[in-house]
Amino acid sequence: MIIKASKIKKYYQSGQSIIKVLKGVDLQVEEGELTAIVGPSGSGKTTLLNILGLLDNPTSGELFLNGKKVTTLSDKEKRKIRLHRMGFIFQNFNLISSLTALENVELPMALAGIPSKERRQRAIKLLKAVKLDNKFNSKIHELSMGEIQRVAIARAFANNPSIILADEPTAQLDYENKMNIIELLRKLRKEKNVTIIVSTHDLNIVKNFDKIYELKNGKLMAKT
Amino acid sequence: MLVFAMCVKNIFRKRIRSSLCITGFSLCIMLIVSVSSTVNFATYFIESSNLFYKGKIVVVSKNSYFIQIAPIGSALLEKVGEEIEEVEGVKTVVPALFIYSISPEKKFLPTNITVGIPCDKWKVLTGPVEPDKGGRWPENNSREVVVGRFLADKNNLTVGSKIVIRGVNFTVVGILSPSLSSVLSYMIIMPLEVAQEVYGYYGIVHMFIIEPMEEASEEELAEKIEEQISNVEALTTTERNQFIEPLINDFRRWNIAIEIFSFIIGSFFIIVLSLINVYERRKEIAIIDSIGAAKHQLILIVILEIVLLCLIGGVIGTILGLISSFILLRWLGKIAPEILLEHFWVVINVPMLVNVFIIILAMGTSLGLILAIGMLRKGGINILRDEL
Repeated sequence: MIIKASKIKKYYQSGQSIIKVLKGVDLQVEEGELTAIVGPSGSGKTTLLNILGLLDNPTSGELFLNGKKVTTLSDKEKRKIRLHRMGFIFQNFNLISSLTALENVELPMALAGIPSKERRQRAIKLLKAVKLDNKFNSKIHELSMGEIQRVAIARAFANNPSIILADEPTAQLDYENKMNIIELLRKLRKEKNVTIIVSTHDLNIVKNFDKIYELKNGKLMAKT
Repeated sequence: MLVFAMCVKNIFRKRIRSSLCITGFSLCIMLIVSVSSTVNFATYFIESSNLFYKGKIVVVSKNSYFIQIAPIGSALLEKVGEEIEEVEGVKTVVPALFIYSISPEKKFLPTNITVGIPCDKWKVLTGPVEPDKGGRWPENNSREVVVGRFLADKNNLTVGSKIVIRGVNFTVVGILSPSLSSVLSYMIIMPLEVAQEVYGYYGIVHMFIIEPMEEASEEELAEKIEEQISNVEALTTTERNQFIEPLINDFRRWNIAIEIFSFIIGSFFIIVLSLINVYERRKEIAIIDSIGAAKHQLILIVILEIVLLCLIGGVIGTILGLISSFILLRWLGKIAPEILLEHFWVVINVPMLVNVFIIILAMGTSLGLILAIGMLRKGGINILRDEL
């Protein structure tokens, strides 16, 4: 089991009141699985993904990656895991506009200390894999939405992670691009044998996923 | 390298913001450098000119002023020299005549100083500096002169050239190329009796330069001269230095005041620039944070751009400051370009430039550090959430 979340709770203080976003989430994901977390906007999908991706800390509960408890790790160790073992795909892409597509893909590798020649070769390979062969030196604002999300996908795979967390990766795309992105994720999962967790409110894109969970009222339930 | 490229690209991407910051910052540095360089050169100029007659006593008439090399408002009868020679402890007495001229004959431009000194006593004025190769000192009672390098170059004079001073024909027999004191470069040196005749100072000199005997103390001998000879002031090396000390101290005080003022303005620019910079890049930094960058990498990204802008502004400001300093010294101080070039490293003032850059880097780095730590505390994901 690559991910095990146990009784994850996340509460936010808002003025005098406390907002309970996650009220004891349990989740188990096997290696290489394609998992979907569905739910309406504001249900806590992003919060859960941020906790699974070690970007945020739960109020309580425990998280295990490959059997190792990670909730108590130091900030430095969490950063290391994020950089080397996880890849993130965000709803609003979160690419750096001053860099080219190629440089954006190179960025996680540069942060990981991979030599420039090697990271350039790997970035080119990844951009080719997401069918952006002729867009290496394009600035982000010169790309279409679908192309931007493909750059984000290539970046997520840059450091050969074992887990990809995709938060609403198709939210800003049209139907054709949505399907293309999901197909691309499926293809890359197969090629690279990674575990992918996708959060979405769109049930159309999660057909044929290995597991589908619904996040409702702060609880996660398997969807049949 | 990628992080560095990112910072450089960001500077070019935000051209107006970057240009404004660099301009403002370089203007502050220009002010600091130009003032410091000009003051530094002026101080050096005064100090080096004051090296004249070191270890000797200068006798001038009472209530006159003595600046650098010569007195102002002093006139003494030449025969007073004989009385001074009688004072115990006096080894030699050299009379001297100094005539300042803004533009004599309109031929020797700019300012020059004509000096009359007895033949064979030239060294009391010029020290180790001898006429250039091919030249010599004037013969006794001759219509011969030695001119300073600056005047010679300005007026195309070489050994053998003929010049006219107050209607009298002179031959240039030597050119002086001083390396230390630029004052010598502006001088026309001739035998004392000839200078007295040409300028109408018959039997009058402006001062005496006294060399004490080996065993005699400069201070004690000066006191004796003042006691034994009426209406004269005997100035020791220390006393002469004291004349310029207040002036130099004033220079330095002004210099420090302007530097502090410029740094306050400069600091304000750096603070504003850093805040704008970090605020504009908070999303970018948050993205890198979420990818998993180490803290030191994030801090480096924040600092690097601030430091880069500071350094670009610093280099431009320094170049502009040095150029304006040369212009100030050349046009307002009437310092010859040759002398400025000869004393290039005095104008540049390396320790001051090193200090300026250390302070720039320290300010940029510490501010960047404070802002980066502030961002890290907030956390990348919270910043990204705020940006939505």
